[in-house]
Amino acid sequence: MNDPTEGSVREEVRTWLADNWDPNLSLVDWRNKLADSGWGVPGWPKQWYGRDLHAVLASTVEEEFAAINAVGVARTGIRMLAAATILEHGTDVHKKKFLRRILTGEDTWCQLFSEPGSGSDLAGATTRADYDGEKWIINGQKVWTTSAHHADYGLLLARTDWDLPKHQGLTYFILNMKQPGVDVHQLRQMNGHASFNQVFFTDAQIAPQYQVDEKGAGWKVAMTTLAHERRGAGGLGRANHDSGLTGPIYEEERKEIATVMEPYKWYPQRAGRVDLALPRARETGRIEDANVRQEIAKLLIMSKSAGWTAQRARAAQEQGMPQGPEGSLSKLAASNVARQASRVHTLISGADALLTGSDGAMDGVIAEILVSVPATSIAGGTDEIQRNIIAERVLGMEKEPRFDTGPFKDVPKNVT
Amino acid sequence: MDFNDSTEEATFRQEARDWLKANEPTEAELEGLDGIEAAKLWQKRKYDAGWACIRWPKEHGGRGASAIEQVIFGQEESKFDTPEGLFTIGHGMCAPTMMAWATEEQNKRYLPKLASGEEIWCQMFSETAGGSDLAALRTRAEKDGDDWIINGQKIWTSGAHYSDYGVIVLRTDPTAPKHQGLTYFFIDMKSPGIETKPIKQISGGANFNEVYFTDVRVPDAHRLGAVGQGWQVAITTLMNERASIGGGGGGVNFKSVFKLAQTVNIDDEPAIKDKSVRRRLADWYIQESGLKFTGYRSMTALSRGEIPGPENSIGKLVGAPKQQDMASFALDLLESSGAIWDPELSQEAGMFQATYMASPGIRIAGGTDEIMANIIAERVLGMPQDIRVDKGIPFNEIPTSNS
Amino acid sequence: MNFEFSEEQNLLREQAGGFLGDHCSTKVVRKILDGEESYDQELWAKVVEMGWTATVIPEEFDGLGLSYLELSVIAEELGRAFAPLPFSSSVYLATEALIAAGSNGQKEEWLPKLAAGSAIGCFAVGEGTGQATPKSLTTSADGNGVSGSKIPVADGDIADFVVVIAACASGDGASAYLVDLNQASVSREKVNTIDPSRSHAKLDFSSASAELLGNEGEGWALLQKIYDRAAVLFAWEQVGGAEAALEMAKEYAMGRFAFGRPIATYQAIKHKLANMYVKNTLAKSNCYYGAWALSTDAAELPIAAATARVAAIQAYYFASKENIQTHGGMGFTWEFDCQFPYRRSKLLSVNIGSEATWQEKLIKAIEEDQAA
Repeated sequence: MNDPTEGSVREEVRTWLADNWDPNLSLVDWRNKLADSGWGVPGWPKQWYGRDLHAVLASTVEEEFAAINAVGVARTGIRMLAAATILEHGTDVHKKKFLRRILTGEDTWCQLFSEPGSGSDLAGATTRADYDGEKWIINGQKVWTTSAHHADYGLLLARTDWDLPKHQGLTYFILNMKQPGVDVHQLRQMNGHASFNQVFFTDAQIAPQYQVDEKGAGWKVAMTTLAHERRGAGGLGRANHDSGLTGPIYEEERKEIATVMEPYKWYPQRAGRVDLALPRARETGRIEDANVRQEIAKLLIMSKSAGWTAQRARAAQEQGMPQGPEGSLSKLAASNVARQASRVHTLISGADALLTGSDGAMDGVIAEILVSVPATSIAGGTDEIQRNIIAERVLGMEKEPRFDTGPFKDVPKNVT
Repeated sequence: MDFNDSTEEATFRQEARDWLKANEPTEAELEGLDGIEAAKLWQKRKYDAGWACIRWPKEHGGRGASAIEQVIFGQEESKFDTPEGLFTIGHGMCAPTMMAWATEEQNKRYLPKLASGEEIWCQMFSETAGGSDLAALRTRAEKDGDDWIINGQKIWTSGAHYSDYGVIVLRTDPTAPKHQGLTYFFIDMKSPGIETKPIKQISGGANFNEVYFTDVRVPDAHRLGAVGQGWQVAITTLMNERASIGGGGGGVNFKSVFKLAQTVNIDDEPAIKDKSVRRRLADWYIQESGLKFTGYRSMTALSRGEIPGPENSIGKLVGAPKQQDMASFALDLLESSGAIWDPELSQEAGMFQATYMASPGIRIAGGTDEIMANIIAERVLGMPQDIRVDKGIPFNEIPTSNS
Repeated sequence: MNFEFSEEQNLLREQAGGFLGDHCSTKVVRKILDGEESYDQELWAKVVEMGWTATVIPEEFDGLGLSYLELSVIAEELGRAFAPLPFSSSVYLATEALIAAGSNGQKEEWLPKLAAGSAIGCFAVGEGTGQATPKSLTTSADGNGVSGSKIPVADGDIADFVVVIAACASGDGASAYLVDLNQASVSREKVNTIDPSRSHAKLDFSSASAELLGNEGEGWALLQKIYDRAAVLFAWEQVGGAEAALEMAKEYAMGRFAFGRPIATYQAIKHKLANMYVKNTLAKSNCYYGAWALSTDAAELPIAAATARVAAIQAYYFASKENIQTHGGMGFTWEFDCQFPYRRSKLLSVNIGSEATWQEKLIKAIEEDQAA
């Protein structure tokens, strides 16, 4: 058989869609068809719901789906990170049990990495997993967990050996979130939203077969998850088709996306809403002020150059170059853009920027920008950490001397 | 709260002002003298009348004046166009170190001549490999009978070529941890084996020297502090450096940039009409004003006989980058003519360009911006020192910069 | 040179700081932030009892007749405690307006009540988005009284009277009016702001009965005068808050470990805090200058006030945002106290004209000074 070409793939998927796409199917039924046929995730291996297609050809398939507004597999939240990690490190048991229900959207996942005592220092996790001869017993606390309150499973990084240096004593698990030892509490941010959770474990249990990869390999596995996250596999899951479509399958999908998007609804404000700067300046007449003009110019220059840098990085990746440290560059740039945008909005709105809710400028959107922007330079790695990454990995500067390389139990740490 | 002198202070100020007015060197007196000769003439005149180094004890050539009197005399003197600068390091840094560590005989021998301007002193700490990490210095001194023999090289020494004496920190034990293997001396700059070479800076000036030592002998009697105690002695010098530098002094300031903004145009209007120019000027004004009033707060403490608070330590950290930014901004205002650096053709005889070119050095000399920020974090805010990877390790085993 | 507070004034600072430490912990601020109350009435009663609202009111109107140096000291401590009180509206603005422009009758009616805390005043200028100017004012007065809307008005929901800057009855320019808020032709509605620990309202006037405060047509000049005076006191509050933010950041950095060592040992953190200290110190020294100019009625008050104000705005904003950054993710939670300085810094910086407004005022004042 010949290698597939763009033409042959396009023709094949077109034919299959013509025969099978039916907007009146239920979301799960349709996605089961996708899983069976391999067209939902054509880049995945053949034996696991895919077709072994190269990334370029996989995007051809996506184009065909988009062309007729066919719904795809569930991609929202961190499901795809879970799937990628399982595909790379999981056993056949894991793949059989979890992958299909990830694609159909029947199961929701969350990521249990960050802890109150280890933010920037992820490998400093102190949540413990102890083996009692039959199962792993989990105790400790995680934080910044999106969707934990409705997740079915969690990707857990826990410490299984306290005598080894910190990166070597971690093991990766799949945790069933629906069990008595798992308590989820919402964490409210200072902008009033509660997008994240704290998750407390009190003798929560994991059967041995749900350990992922070797004991002590947790850091390596977590790096896989994070690499996919940085590559954007997490995605906030926008639909690939128009929003105006009606029909039961579209309604179902919209609902699915809305649930996942709920915690993120302030994210555009967190990024500073650069899009609003010019319209607001025009609408309020402040555009006449030389200061406002200069500050907006500065903002747009920052925002555009950040955009172009990201585009260069994407282009490089599409050409198969390994992923570089662009992530850190664009994260830093995003912080700077957000801060400058917040400055511009204050300059335009004056005292009105204070008002929240329906009293405020643009129904409080401006005030929400002001109180949300500080999160940009913290979440997903602080500016300080990004600068370290750039200094060390891009510029090749030496790492900070380490004081945490000995047995983990001896490393000075936060009391939690 | 007021800006007025107390009665005693006012009397003192008047006395100082009267003396300065009557004794300021005339143009005729300075005619034909070079900078060094002019400065020496003025220093000697102050010394003879009891107005030199007024804070020092009388027996060392001073006046035994209080700290506030010193500030007042400085303020008054700065209103006159008198020769200055030559003795800053000798008076501000070397002398306090001598007073703290030298013998009484030595102080009697050297300090009055330093006060009178007869002898000029310099300071030799920095080395090419060290920089901010002063204690990493490598110039050796080895004991030979009652003498020490010096070999090595110092850099960034102001005025080494016209100095009579200099203070120097040397490595006397390379096997001790780095801060413990140092010893402090003062040396005769005319000793055989000392060679000085001027360093040309990016600003075109050559105020600094490299100083080379080849088998230079210094008597053990010129050691200050014990063998191995050099770091502690050096701290005395450095504390005085940081107290005496700062301030800002000449070069670009708010006034000059403000005036420039009134004279050059943006879009056919004076630049000062441009709102974004105004905002930036406002920011510099408040910085200058903040520094000035911080100085007033310190002066008040002096005036009350108290030690000024730590707020004084911010002067250099704020002043140096501010000057650089203002000079850079001024060059932008000048558009393409900002590139011209010529006393005849440039605005203000090229002062903006000169400051632009000198400011990188100001941000480094006497403690870099980064070191100043560390000092504030550690000494003022009480934050822990950086974790030291060179602590307790023999100096000859510490990784060093390539030089 | 005596550029320092007196011993008595420093003692007052210590007392004020101690008092607020006992009675205005961040728990108290949080109660107002989370609750429905507009301000802490219990704390207000205590503050009044200490005589703080009476500080600069002349003795003939039941005040203490103290100087603005004392008031500066109190402002600094209120700012440090993020006090949830209508102090700035009532004391720095309304009281100042009455002292500056009130007729003897107006003073007699209101100043003793302001001193005794039995009346709270507020001050209304802005009318929504953007900078208010004499040309932009739509609130106006005619023979029947004041009509129009003002938003946001700090403490407008709980004040007893308001000083309104409105377009003149006679057409040209603006005038200041004193309006009793307990009348049917004024409606007020609480509005939500980025700092719910300080309440704000929208005030609607429909031919509300009003008394002219000062001369007809001189409202805008009066406003500038009051703003110059209030700016110094606002700046002291801001500097107090900025110092509190630095203190918070320092305490956290010393106790928080990452990669096996306290984050306070990292230069990235040390330099951040050193920069906060530098900005705070410069701002504070400028506030000294402002306090001196205010207390001596110096001709250079406009320069001194703008200098203190701009420096304090910048220092507080910087300290409050970098304090969150130092705390990392937990600093962004509702549970932590980092939100108080962050909210308050922005509130205080837009309350009486923003940074850009004051930068402009400063350069204008310098130009005028130069021309004179």
